[in-house]
Parts: sequence; C-alpha cells; structure tokens
Amino acid sequence: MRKIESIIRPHLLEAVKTALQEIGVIGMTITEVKGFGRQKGHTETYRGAEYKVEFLPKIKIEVVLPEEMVDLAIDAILKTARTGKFGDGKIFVTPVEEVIRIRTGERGEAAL
Amino acid sequence: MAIDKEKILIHADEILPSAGSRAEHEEHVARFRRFLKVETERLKIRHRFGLDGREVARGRSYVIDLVIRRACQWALAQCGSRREIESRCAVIALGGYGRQEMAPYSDVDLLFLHAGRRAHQASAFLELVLHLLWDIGLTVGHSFRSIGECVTMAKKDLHSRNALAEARLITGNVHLFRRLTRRLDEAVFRNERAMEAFIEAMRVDRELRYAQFGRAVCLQEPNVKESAGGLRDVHTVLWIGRSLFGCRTLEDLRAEALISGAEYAAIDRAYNFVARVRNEAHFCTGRRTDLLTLDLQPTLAANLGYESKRGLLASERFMREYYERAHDLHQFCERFLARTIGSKNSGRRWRLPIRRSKERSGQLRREGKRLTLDEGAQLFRREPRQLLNVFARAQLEDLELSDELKHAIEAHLSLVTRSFRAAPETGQLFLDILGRRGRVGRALRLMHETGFLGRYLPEFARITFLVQHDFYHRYTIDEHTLRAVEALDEIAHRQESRLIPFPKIFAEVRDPALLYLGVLLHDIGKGRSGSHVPRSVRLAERVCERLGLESSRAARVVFLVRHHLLMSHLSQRRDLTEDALIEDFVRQVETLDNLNMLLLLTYADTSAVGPGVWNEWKEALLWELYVRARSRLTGGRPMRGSHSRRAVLKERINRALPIKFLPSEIERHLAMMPDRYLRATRPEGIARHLLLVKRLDAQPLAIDWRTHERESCTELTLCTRDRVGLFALIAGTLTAQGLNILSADLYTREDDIVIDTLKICEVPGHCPVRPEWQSKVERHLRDALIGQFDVAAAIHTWRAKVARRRGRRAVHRPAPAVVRFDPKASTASTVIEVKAEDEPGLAYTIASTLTALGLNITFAKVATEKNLAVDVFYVTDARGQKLTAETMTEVERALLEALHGEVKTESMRRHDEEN
Repeated sequence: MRKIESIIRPHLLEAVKTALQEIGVIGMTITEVKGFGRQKGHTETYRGAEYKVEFLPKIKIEVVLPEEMVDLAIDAILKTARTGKFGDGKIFVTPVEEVIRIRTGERGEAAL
Repeated sequence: MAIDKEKILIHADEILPSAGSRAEHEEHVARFRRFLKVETERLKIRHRFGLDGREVARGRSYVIDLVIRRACQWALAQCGSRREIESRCAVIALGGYGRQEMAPYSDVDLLFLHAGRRAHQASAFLELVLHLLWDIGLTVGHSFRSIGECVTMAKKDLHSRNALAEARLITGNVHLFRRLTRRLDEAVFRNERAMEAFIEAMRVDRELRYAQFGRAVCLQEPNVKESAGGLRDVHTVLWIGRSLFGCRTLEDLRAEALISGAEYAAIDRAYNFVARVRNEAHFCTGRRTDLLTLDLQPTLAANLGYESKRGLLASERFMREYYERAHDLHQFCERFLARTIGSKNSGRRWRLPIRRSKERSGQLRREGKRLTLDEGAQLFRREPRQLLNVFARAQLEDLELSDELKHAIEAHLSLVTRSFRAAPETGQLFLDILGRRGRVGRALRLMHETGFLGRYLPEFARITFLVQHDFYHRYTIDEHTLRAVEALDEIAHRQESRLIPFPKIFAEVRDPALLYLGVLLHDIGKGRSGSHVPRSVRLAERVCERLGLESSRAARVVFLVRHHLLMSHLSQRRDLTEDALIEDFVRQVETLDNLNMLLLLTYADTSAVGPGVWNEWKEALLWELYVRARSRLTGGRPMRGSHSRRAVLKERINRALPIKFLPSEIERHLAMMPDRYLRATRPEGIARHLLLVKRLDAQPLAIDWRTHERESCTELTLCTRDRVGLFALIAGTLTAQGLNILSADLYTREDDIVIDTLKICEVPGHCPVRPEWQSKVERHLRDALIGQFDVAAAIHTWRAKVARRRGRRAVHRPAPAVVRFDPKASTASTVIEVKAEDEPGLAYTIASTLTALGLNITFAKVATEKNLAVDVFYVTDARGQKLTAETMTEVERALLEALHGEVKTESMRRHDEEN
C-alpha cells in the first residue's frame, strides 16, 4: 500500500477528483494548504535588496491505494493537473505500513 | 430658370448635321456628342440653380427627342427606300422617356414600330439609327415590333404593358402610332376582363420590388427609384390610374377627384424633390446612379445646398428631408392603392368623400376589422379628445383604421393644441394606451402614421425622419424608437425563452406604462450637438410632467432614459467578475423593478438598431450582469443556484457530445478556461471545443467551420497552442485571403491550448466563406503556424491590391481612430479600446502593432457594429505586468500611426460622447 499525496492547483480539484474516481478510487482526503515551490511563491525586488515570500493557496489530496493502482492514479493526476507551467504542484508517494478502519478494526487492504 | 426649348432647338440646328449632309460618320458622331455634352452641362447648371426635378427631367427628354429625330433623319438619308420607311415605321418613346421624364443618365427606351410585312427595310434603318445612338454614347433599350407583337407582349408581360402605357410618338408615321394605341386600348388597357389579372400582377410586382430594394422608407442607403418611397411608387399609381380610370397624369387624377387637392400638392412637391435628388445623383457621378450610398450622401447634400446646422450634419439634414418626402410618396401610394385596388369591391369607383350636411354628427363605427367614421368629422370638432380615443379603441379591439377615418384625423390635427396636450384626462388616456402590455406598438404606429404622435408629443416630431450618420443606427430615430416598442410587445407574446427568460421578467414589471414611456423617450434628445442623454433626460422630465405623471413614477421613467446605455456598456466592455463593478451598478439601479425594466429596455433598444445586432454573445453578457445584480438586490439569493447550474451545464455538454467523454476531461476543460468562457459560451459550443481539443492532439491546428446564413458570415473556431503574436498571425493570414474579421473571442486554456472563435466573411460580397475556400484557408493557417507561410509578405501583396482597387472608388474619408486605455477595468491586464471605422485587415493591423511592441494579448473582444469596429484588447507587457504610463503613450502613438488616423470628425466625437 502506498499513500499518494499530491499538491495541485485549487481550481483543478474537481477535475482531479473526478479523474481519480474514474479509475476506481473511492476515498480521499482534501486539505486546503498554502505553500511555495521553486518559482511561483517568491518575488525578488529590484537589486535583490528585499526578499519577499508569498504563500500560494493549493489543494492537497491524499489517497492510500493498493500497489497495483498506484501508477494508474499517478497517471490520472498527471494528465489532469498538468498545465505545463510553474505552480502545477507535486506528487509524493510514500509506503504505508498499516491501515485500520476504526469502526470495525479491520486491517490492511481490506480497510481501504 | 425654366428650360428654354427655343434655345435648345437653335443649338441643334447649328450643330447637328442636317439630313443631306455628306460628312463622314465620325464627324457626325462627334457633332452629336458635342451637342449632347453641352446640353447636359446646361441642364446641370439649371439643375444646380434649383430647377425642379420634373422640369429637368422634361428638359432632358426634350434634348433626347431632338437627338433621336435628327439621328432618324440622318439614317433615312442613308437608306435607299426613304419613303417606304417613313410610311411604314414609327419611332416611339416608352416608359419614363415616354412620360417625358428622364433623369440625366437614364436609359433611352425606344420602340421601333413597323407595319408588319417587308420589315427588313425598316430593320436596316433601325440598325443605322441604333449604331449612331450607341456611338454617341447613349444607353438605348430598344425593341422592334409590329402592332400585333406589341399587343401580345403587353398582354403577356407586365413591364412591357406598363412601358407601352406611356408610349409617345417621336417621329415616323402618326397613323401607325394611333393604330397601336387604339389596339392597345381595346385589347389591353380598356379590357375589363384583363383588369383583375393586371391588378394582381401589379400587386405581386410591387411585393417583389420591395423585397429586393427595401420595404422601409427610412433605409440607410435607399434606392431613389425602386425602394419604398421611390419614384416607382408614383409610377405605380400612374399605371393603375391609366388602366382603371384612363388618367395619364397626377393632374388628370386630381381633375377626376381621385386624389384630393391637398394630396396632389404634397405629392407634386415630394415627387419633384425625389426626382431632383435622382438628377443630382446622376449628375454628380456622371452615370446612372439610383442608390444613395452613405459615401454619396454628403456630396449630394452639399450639391443640393444643405449645410451643417445645430449639431446636424448636412447629410443628416438632407436625408431627413429625403425621408420626409419619400414617406409622403409612399403613404400616398399605399393609400391610393388601398382605396382603388385594395378592397374587394374594387368595381365601385372611389371618390373623395363629399361634405355632408352639418347636422349629422359623426360616430365611430366598427366595420369588420376596421374602425371607421360615419358621416363627416363633426365628432372631432365637438370632442377633440376622440382623436386619441380612436387609437385606444383600435388598440383594445385590434382594429385597423379606415381610410376615411385616417383622412379625418389628419384633417383635424390642428385640434391637438397646447391645452389638449396639457389636459390631465388626455394624459391619462395616453398612459392607459401605453399600459397595455404587448399591444402598444401598433397603437403608436397608427398615431405616427396619421401624424398624431408628433402633434401630441412635439418632442417626438423633432426626431421623426432623423437619421444619424454615426456608425450604429440603421433606422431613423423615430423608426428605431417604434421598433424598440414593438420588440417589447413581441416579448409579451413570446412563448419560448432563450437564455434570458424575457417573458417572465416582463411579467414581473409592475407598471408597464412606465417602461413603454421610457422606451418611447429614450432617444428623444437626439439630433442636437452634444450628448443626447442629458437632453433626453430633460425632455423626458418635461413630457412626464405634461402627461400628469406623479413624481415617483416620473422619476422612474427619467431613470430609464438616463441609464438606457448603462447595461450594454457595462456588460460588453467590462469584466463582470469584479465585485466593485456590480455593487456600483446596483447602487444606481436601486430596486429590482428598475433592474427588470432596464434589462428589457436594453434588449428592446439593442434589437431595434438593426437585424442581427442582438445576438447570443450580448445576451449572455447581459444576463450575467443581470443575474449578479439581481442576486445582490434580492439578498444574495441567485435566480438559479450556481452550483446546480454547473451540473446542468455539464449535463448539457454531455448531451451535445457525439462521442463519450470522461467527466474528468470535461471538468478539466472547464477548470482551465477563464471564467468569462463559461459565461459567454453555450454548452453546444463547449462540446464542439472539446472535440477540437481532442482532434488537436499532436497536430499544429484543428479547425471547425460553420456557416451562419442569417448573419451572412462564417464562424471559424480554431484550436492550437499559444505562442507570441498568435492572434496577429491568424488575423493576418485571414486578411491576406480576402476575409474580413467581424468579431473574435480569444480564449487561452491554462495549459496553453488556444480556442479562438472568429466570425468572418468574404470581403467582396460580404457573404459566408464558400466551402471550396475553406480548405485553402485551412491550409494557409496551418502553414502559417508551422512557419511555411510568410504572413507579412502576403499582407503586403494584399494591401497593394486593395489600394489599387480603392483608388478607383469614390473618395471616402474614413473617420479617424480613437484609442483609449482603461487600466482599472481588470486587475491583471491593461484594457485597450480601439474604435475605428471597420475595414478589412483592421484586426490584423491592431494585433500586429501590439505584438510588435512586445505585448501579450490575453483576451480580445473584436466587435463590429455596422461599420464601426470597437476592438477591446486585454494586454500585458512582456513580463506579464500591466502597462506603464510610458508604454501606454507609446502604444497609442503606434496604433494611431498604424491606423492612419487624423483629427476627429464631428460625428465621431458625438458618437464618442454617447457611448
């Protein structure tokens, strides 16, 4: 099992969500976040005397998926969230040791 | 300065070759030509000194008579069998020439009548005459017929019949000519059985003529001969008069009491005027010009002695008089036809009503679908208020007015005095008429037709027949106003609703009289220098007070007049997503009822400007403004939930798609497009765009064509990837193919996929792009995008070609361009507004100028209204920032230079103030 955590442009949320649902993802967690990456967030003023950082609003989508669905999901996110410009966001993939459904106590993939 | 026939005759004797002269053919021709030239010039001088239109036409006819007689003499001398021909042939003038009314460069219609047998001698003679006349430079329409053939033609063909009705002998055997007229009278003109078919044919012919040349008198570019109110209307009366009553002239008709003295005086005047205009059009262009084009009108006005005065251009004052006269002609023709051939009982001969004894009082009476007046017009004299009551009754019972009743109203307009206008009960009656939702237009039209409206509202008389030579308006102001009222009426009867549910909104309006009054008065202040809005407001206040409107209601009428341009202005030129803009608008509107009325007024006003002016694009923008303002006014409750609206939209896009799309693809497309895209694009359009994007894939370009026959243009949607100067590239490629861009909507998706929708047409003919052209255009666009088509060079070649063609056209001074900046309208870009007279290649010129300055065009609204283009470009500089003050100055200079602008003209300035 892996967790896919992707930071995307806020207005593309609907599209990404729909795309994930289309490949069979049934649950996800959404957080409104702020941040900056390589370019978009900061602007340097003339002569570099001042240095200002601006956090930009983004959406974080977290989904935990069985191994075989991971590539599919990454594809779906890439295809939908990419505009080809700075600020498209990132995808982080991390292994997940255990999943437990609180209501029933089920564990592992059955709890997904 | 009457025509001096004696002098012309002497001149002819001096210069034209006599029958026996043995000079060379060339010498003959030269003499004839000189004679014609000098006499044309003399006639022109008399005309310019103010000689009547018909007098000049008669003079011309006399000159041509002489030319033809001499030409025939000369030809006879050349023929061997002179006596034979003289006794067996007659040369006869037909049509207008037969009537002795010829405009300076009209065709010469001739009939060579021969006696039947041994026609070959006559035909040799005919050839000689014709060759000479052609060499002289006359345009001759001729026929060579026997009496029998003439009669057959007259029976068969309406135009031949009418031409023959005016037959006049010029030279030749008078007995032959008399035989012809006798036979025609018996077999055709006096033939009772043929009458019905003739009348029917005339009716059809008139219908066809109006369909081709224009049914409305107040056309922007009327045809003096064929349009409604043109000379043909009078000719129609004369032909009918000839056939039904044997009257050949207006004077005859009057003598027979078929037209009244007052009618005769008005028609004589109008006929002379229109004929004079036609003469001037011929003289000043040096050829047969019957269409009064916008180019030509200022020249005509100047030559006919009009001057610019009190804020009206000379051409506007001229055209106003032209419309007045043409209207008289048309009205007269309509009524004459209605009373002679209109009713079923046309066997009864119509006479002017004879005054009856005074004791019998008149009564309004219903007669079928008509309202008529019994016995004289004592009614109005006794009770002037009945004048207005007539219209109320006609409106309520949906009746026409009988001819007698119209006459009676016209004859009693002097009863509409100051006290009549100021009486509270008439004011109330008038407001009642205005309050009948959906039925106001017809009543006002009847009032206008009989001249009552202008009497009752003298302010309205001032805008009657007033034409505005600005760029937008196609109709005169009075016509525009009445059309706006009718557009409103039409809403009330409409079932289906398009995007905006107008019928529902109209039903919400609490006091329709106020709305109708607002529409009636919205342009009342036009026709004076300066902006028309404040003047309209002042006049509207005055009218409201006179009508006895209580102050709260009056204030709302005045509100409508004051802000009648506000909604179209905001919706079409500003970004509606800015909250401050909506808030400001709501503050001005104050109430929902006001908002509703203003929306309806905006619709009525826009759609009455001309056909095709109201369109989906404007509707979508106006709706957006309305919805936003409405939700603010009703406490944040939008009319339809915006969430569910999105779902509905997606559903409709899905339905419009021929193949299945994943919901996420649709969602992504919508998300990556700017907000305004959703506002201005219909689901069907979005579906088409989705297909295009799919087709684009790895291609450089995907294109979709559709033809709009009704707007006579082609909609070209192209999908490609963004790059610097893309729009200039597209515009240039199209221009170089001889295509004109009428409007453009540019959208760039966040992933740099561009979807541009352009409305284009072919420059010659102003018609949709033919299918065989489309593939060529597509190929060039593709080549341009991959760098294999040199756009700049193609434009250069095209410009040179156009310049050559332009050189030959009449001098036309284009109105100079105006460049304006609005740095505040958008948060991210600077808005540049360019107003210029539309010409092919304009969008390219602007776009390439902007590109050359290193600017990015993020959004463009290219819109053409009639011949004024208002092009709005949202631009950023190379770094994606708004323009600095210096850049703006530079941009303005570069644009004006590129558009070769000069000083502003009066009409341009005025137009500016009003928009």
